[in-house]
Amino acid sequence: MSPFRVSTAVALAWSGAALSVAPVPANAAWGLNLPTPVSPIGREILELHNLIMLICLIIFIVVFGFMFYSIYAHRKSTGREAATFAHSTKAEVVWTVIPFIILIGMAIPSTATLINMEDTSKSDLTIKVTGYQWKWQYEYLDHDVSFYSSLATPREQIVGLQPKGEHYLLEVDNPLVIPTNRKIRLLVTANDVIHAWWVPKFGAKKDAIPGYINELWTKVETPGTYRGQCAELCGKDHGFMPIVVEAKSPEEFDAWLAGRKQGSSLEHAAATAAAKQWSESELMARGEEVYAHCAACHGVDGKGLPGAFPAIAGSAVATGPVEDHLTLVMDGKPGTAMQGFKGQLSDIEIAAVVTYQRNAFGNKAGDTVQPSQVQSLR
Amino acid sequence: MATADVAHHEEHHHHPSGVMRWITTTNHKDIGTLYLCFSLSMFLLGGLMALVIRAELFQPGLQVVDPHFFNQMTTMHALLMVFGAIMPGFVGFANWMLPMMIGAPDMALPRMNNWSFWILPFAFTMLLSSLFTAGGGPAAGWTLYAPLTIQGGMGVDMTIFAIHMMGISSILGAINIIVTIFNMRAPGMTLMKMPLFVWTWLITAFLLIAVMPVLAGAVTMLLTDRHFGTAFFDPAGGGDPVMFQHIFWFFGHPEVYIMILPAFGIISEIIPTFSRKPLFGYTAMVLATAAIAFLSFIVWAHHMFTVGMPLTGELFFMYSTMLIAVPTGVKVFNWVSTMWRGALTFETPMLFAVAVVFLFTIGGFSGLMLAITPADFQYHDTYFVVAHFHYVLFSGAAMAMMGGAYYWLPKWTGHMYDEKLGKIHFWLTTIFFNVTFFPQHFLGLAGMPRRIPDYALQFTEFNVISSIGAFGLGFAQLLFVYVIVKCVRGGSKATDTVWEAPRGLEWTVPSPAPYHTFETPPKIA
Amino acid sequence: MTPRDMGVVVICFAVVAVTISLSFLALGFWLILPFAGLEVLAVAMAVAFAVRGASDYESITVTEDTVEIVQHRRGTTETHAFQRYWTRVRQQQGAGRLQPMRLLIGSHGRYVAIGSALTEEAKKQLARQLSDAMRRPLA
Repeated sequence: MSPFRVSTAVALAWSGAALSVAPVPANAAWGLNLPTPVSPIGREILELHNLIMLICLIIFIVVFGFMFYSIYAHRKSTGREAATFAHSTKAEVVWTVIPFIILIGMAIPSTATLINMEDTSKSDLTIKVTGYQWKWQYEYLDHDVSFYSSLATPREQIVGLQPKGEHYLLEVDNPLVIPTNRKIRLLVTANDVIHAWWVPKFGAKKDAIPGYINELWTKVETPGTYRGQCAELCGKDHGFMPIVVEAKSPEEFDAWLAGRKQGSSLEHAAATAAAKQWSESELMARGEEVYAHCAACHGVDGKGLPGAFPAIAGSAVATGPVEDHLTLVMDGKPGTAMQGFKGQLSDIEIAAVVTYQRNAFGNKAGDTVQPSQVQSLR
Repeated sequence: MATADVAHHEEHHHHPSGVMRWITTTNHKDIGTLYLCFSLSMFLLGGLMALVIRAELFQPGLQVVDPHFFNQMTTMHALLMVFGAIMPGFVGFANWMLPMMIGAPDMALPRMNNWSFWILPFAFTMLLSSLFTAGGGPAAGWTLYAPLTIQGGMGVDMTIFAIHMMGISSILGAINIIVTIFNMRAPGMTLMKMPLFVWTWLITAFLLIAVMPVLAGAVTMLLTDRHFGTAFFDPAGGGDPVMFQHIFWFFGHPEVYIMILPAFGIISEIIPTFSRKPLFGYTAMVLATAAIAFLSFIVWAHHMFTVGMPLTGELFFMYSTMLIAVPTGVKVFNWVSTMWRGALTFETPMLFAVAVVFLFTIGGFSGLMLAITPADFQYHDTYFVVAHFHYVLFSGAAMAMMGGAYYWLPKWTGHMYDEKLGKIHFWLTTIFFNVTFFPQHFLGLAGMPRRIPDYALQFTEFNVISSIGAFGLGFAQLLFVYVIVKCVRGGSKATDTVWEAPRGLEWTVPSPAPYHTFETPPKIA
Repeated sequence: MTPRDMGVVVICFAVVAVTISLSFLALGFWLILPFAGLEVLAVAMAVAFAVRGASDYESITVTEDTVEIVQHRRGTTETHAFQRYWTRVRQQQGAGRLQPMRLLIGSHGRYVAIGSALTEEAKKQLARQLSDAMRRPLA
């Protein structure tokens, strides 16, 4: 514990904020090896890693045993004369051949594991994973269930206004839920730039590349919550798009899936029911919540980041024709970080956030957008 | 060994003085000095950016910079270190030492030599000024992966132009080195008599010429994707972002050896001198260097195992990458054998050389681990990789240059450096380097991705240690600057051989080396 | 190395660079080829320059009465002879700041440029050596 307290003390001095007191982390601090795997592939990788570590360590000790012995015993200060040999074909052959043989020994188990990893056949459940700047989308392909998963850590914790929670930066609003002891096939792709989906305890990592669909599989043996992060630099909030997977027993998973299907149809019903007229204050209140999606780039104050992310405050789009504004939000702008939100947000959410953008940050378009308008553009 | 006739005319020379001397100079020693000073200043500037990164990572949470600026810092740090510190640094050593080592009066194409240096300050001014444009500098990592690079602002375009200029500079430098080695050797200096530093540079120059057009083409296609509606890499227009990675790493992997082979050369000069024994297995060393260079062309995709290649591709690149361990191992075994039964002393250059052999090998082992494809899926894009390439590039390339600087400073300046301060600098560098980077292996294994400005709480402890180490490492380099300045300004007079029994023609000329060496070619026995 | 060996070196570079860029061309990434072409051109020019320069020479022979200049450039040889007593070495500044200084030798208004491949410092040094040599009485 004491080094931890030291680091906390330094942190206080560093940030000058009394609030950045870090709680005891749930995951093992001071971890020296790969985390304990919960999938067959994860275990194979760990065994492979340990084996190669060991071989390297032995070679290391032998080679540097010689070197340090030489450093000690062959010092000039012992009064010795240097030998004059400078060549030995026998030695050269030996230390070319032996490493070669060791490498073959390493290659055999590695090849076996690799072949196993790439075999995605005979899976029980297929989930499509799509990376966005900066969130994940999960689609249960045979079950008509789909949702987005983004960081749930409040901004106050990140900037040090609140104490950091137990799962700081590794918590999401909607975790991916999978059944245990089933072979899960993940189809990984991306919508904008390259991301990488990675859960260390599964030993599963794959790049999510726009225009490509990559496959990987995992089979989780122990129920629990597992956490990972995006592993490929994907822009400003690369560090803030975690992955959380809840592995439930197959029965619990089925129950969850059924509930989720119902939930999504309920949502759907809510959206259609939204054919009512919304008042400006209702739309503004809802829009402020939804604006969290936009704030990652355009800033909580709508000022953006000059040169990288345009401002909403006073922008031509937010003060111009409402149709153009809606189209931009719904379809995005290719070649930029601006993604299309029509798949991610419901009609009412889009209507609310556009209304909010047009009437906040000093923008005074004065108009409101109704969900029916959004629907007509779909 | 070698005897040399050296003309001692230097005292009669009147070369231009002041700034104009440095701008117009065609003398290989002047240009070498320019390159080395440039490299050192980029090293310090890039180091400063590393400290911004480590300051932000000292604690979880965002304290110092915002994430967008953090990404600019990681990108810029890498670009400065790769293209500004390491590559020009080795060209500086080549300029100073190659002509002296092969008994040539100067480089073959002195005027081109001047241009190839003076392109660099412009290139880096452009690169650095991108930080002050709207949207900031490049923030997609030094690998400039599409499509993230396509999103960036004007800073990316400036970076692309800067990379073009650096590329031209490197190519001109490489051509000059090749022509010098082939055309300017003193009579009797056959290829297999050349010092290993010359050999490693010859092979490095070959690699540079082979891959630089690939980099130039790759960044140009990024530029046209960004502005002229092409779709080479932009998936929005039907382009292929994975091909960018293939093309980039086809350049990038040989580039890695461009940054390490000359370091092997320097180490192979230093160890025999302080072991008082000839280099063990000279021929094997030359062959191993050539083998590493050849292999560098067929291993590139090991940087991208996670992009979803076919199984056969993954197996091919795993096997070819593992093979690199063989020639690299030969080098390490030969260095240890050179020391074996020698009469060792440990002046600062030797300390650095031994540390490079030891620490570079740690980087080599982590490289071998990264070659194992299934395991790489866990290591890829984590701090394990960051630790790996700093063990190779800092304790390989950069520390070899420091060792080389101490080794040849007396020859360059005519004064001995301050041995005591040199040793302090060595120990501070080595200790803080390990404090900084060793814990990063553990961070990577525990699951910390690279290039993130903020991290989960279980990574705190090792990040704290790493940051403390980084600041120590940074400040230790100020001592390096002080030792160099002190040595340039004065100090005890260096003898012509400087060390007890060094081999090589450079030790047959006076210290400091006269402005013009070998106006009459030396005779090599 | 002989000019022929150097030619082989250039061809090796060309083959490697063109093979690489043609492979990328085949995949549709044609913008590498022009850069490879430019580079091969640069390599060829640099090597040609170095090789051509390697067979050039200039000899200046100072005898009791004469100064003989033999200039061998690109396969042709020119010979100039001057009377030693009247021969002068002159350093002529270039017209502009970037023009190199020229070293002239000759007499009676007839001057030949020598050492044009030398750097400025080397030209000055040669001028001093020549003046010394011509002033010194031959034994």
